[in-house]
Amino acid sequence: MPAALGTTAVEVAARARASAREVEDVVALLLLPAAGAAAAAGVSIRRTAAAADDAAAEVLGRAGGLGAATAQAWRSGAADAYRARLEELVRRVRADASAVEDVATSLRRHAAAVEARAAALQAAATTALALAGEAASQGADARVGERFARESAALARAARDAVGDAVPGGIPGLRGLVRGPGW
Amino acid sequence: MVSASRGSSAVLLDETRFVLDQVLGAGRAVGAGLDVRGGAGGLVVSGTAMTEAATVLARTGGGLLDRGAPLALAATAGGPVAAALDPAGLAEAQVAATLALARLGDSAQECLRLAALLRAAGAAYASAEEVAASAAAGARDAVAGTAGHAVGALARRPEVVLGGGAVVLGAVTGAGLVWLVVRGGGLVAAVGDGLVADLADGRLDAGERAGLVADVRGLPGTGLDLLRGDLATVGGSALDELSTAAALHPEALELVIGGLPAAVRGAVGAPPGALARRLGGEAQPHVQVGDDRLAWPPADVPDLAAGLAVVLTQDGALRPTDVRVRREDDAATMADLAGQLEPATGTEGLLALATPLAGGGALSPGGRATSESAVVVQRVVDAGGTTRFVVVVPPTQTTGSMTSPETTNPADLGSDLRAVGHVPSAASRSVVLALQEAGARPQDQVLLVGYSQGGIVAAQLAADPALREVARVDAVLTAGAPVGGFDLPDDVAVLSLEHEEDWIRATDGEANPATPARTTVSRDLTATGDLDLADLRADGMAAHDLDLYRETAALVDASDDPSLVAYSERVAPYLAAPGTSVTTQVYRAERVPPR
Repeated sequence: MPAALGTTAVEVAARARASAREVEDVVALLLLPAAGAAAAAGVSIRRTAAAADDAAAEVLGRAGGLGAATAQAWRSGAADAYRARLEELVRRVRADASAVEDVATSLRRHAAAVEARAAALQAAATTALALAGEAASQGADARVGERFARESAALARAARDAVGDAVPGGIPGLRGLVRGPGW
Repeated sequence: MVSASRGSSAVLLDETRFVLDQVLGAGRAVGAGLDVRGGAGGLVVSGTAMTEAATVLARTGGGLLDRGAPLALAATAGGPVAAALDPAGLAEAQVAATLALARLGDSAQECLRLAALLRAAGAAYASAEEVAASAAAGARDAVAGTAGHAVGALARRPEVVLGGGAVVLGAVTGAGLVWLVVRGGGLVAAVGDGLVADLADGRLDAGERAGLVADVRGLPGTGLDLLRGDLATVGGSALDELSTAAALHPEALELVIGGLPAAVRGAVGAPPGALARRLGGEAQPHVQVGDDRLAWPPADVPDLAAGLAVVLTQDGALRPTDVRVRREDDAATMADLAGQLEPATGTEGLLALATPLAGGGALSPGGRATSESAVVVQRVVDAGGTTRFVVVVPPTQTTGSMTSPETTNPADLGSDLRAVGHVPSAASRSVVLALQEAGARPQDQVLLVGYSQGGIVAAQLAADPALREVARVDAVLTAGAPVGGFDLPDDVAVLSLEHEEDWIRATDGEANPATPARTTVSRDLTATGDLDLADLRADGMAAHDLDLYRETAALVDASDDPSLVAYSERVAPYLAAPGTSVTTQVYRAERVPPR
């Protein structure tokens, strides 16, 4: 809700400073930790993707290693049937390697998405802190206070949207934190 | 009852041979009437290869399961923050990981399944081979042992031997072949028991020895008398009947001879050799007499042949004499032979080199005991300067009495007996001396070619590690030779040509092993029309003819069977080729002094 008309400049400035502190709290307690956790999650996912890449390479190597299981010295109808089955197994294991590569690809895509969310949270935090700093430094000016009062509402919406974009399901406690004068 | 056991034993034999064929594989028909067993193209069960493959599969299966670990982590990668920030991306990764895990699990299971199958197949092969071979040999030995036991019992009641022998014969076999088991086993057993006991205790004084020699010398005569009597009783006429019967039923002969040791053991009350070994009984009584050995009771055919050789050498009848070898330097003789000893261009050409050595050939003594044998040696130097040797070992060149004191030809029946007994003979020594005379060195590779006795001696030399001090046997070609009992090194390529109706090749009582290194070509001459029953009735040895074996060799040269092609490639360096020089030399060998 915007600040009420007719309020004294001192009151406006006080409310602006209070809002600025609350915004700083939201940034410090929510946005920055969320952005950090998201960045760490991205690193973790990429590490898992790299392990999946290694696994795919090893599975491919295992497929090649099955060439040593042809038992060429064994010759009979049963041996021919065994080798046909072994060839099929080699094809399957090569396909397994591709399937493991698919896992790595999916994980990298997942990591990229998480990293994008982390960047958005970081950007929201930066914007919020900039606006809050401006409000705190010029809060005595009633015009500025009026503007901040308006813009703090916009900031709150921007922060909410930023978090909303970054965390589609919402972050528990965010709504409780983002409330107060003018929000 | 012997008659009852005969029926069931015969059925058992048929069944076990059938199982053996089914499990181990009979030969494969390759056209032109040839049947091929073993060799590079044959059924090969390599326990080592199967075990190694199973190990690779098991390791791969375990590795695939291990590789699932990082995929399992994909389900929780990034923790709850990532799950909250990008639930759709996480779900996609989780689905991919689940699918990959399932695939890896399936593949790992298939690896482990195949590994288990390989191990089971290897064990089954080994077990089947052992069980089938053991069953066949066991059934054979059971028949022979029973017959021998019966004869042993009868021998202790002389009054029934003459009349009862024929009854036993008829009851046990219904055919004349098992006569050898029944009569021969009993006779040899009676003498051998005493001989071994005396030799082992060192109690063989001059008088005892003379008595023993008399017994031994009496063996052939006693045996022949018994044979004539028995044949007359059952309607037979002469030894020729036996030869014809053997030609018509060579497999039966192989069984009979294979069963002889068991018959002897049965006659002296000992269990069959295989059973004795399985029961972990006392060590086989074994006496070494110079190069010879005497194992009593005999466990196998080589034991029996070696034992007979020892028995027959007690008065010098088969005494292993020294051998003198000389190079044939007569230019006219060598010129006459030139056309017959042309460098070979194939298997047929190699076997043709034995023609002058066989009956009627220019290097054959015409059966005279007082004569020299001949060994043909070809020195082959290829374009790269590598020297190889082709050595053609003579067949039996004299069938004179084994006890003749005038015998000088090393290739006699005594050498046959000793070669089958796996003990050195004058014939084998003459080949070694000829190789040394020809300048062979330990690193030089040798192809041994032998027809009939030549094949036995060739196999014997190939199996003898001592020959490696003279030269390295690389390949062997035999025709009409009983070589199944020789344990030949895996690095020696062996091709054995056998005619179904040639009973000589069955006289060791063992079929040739089928291994990657050993190929056996069988040819049914009556099926192909090369011989008919009338031919065999007229001449029980008709299928042993060298010219027929050369025809079989020509069919081998024309065959595209993988085993035969592989053998041809193996012996190619020994054949005439551009840039290769071949020098042929004949060596004459004689016993010094005569027997």
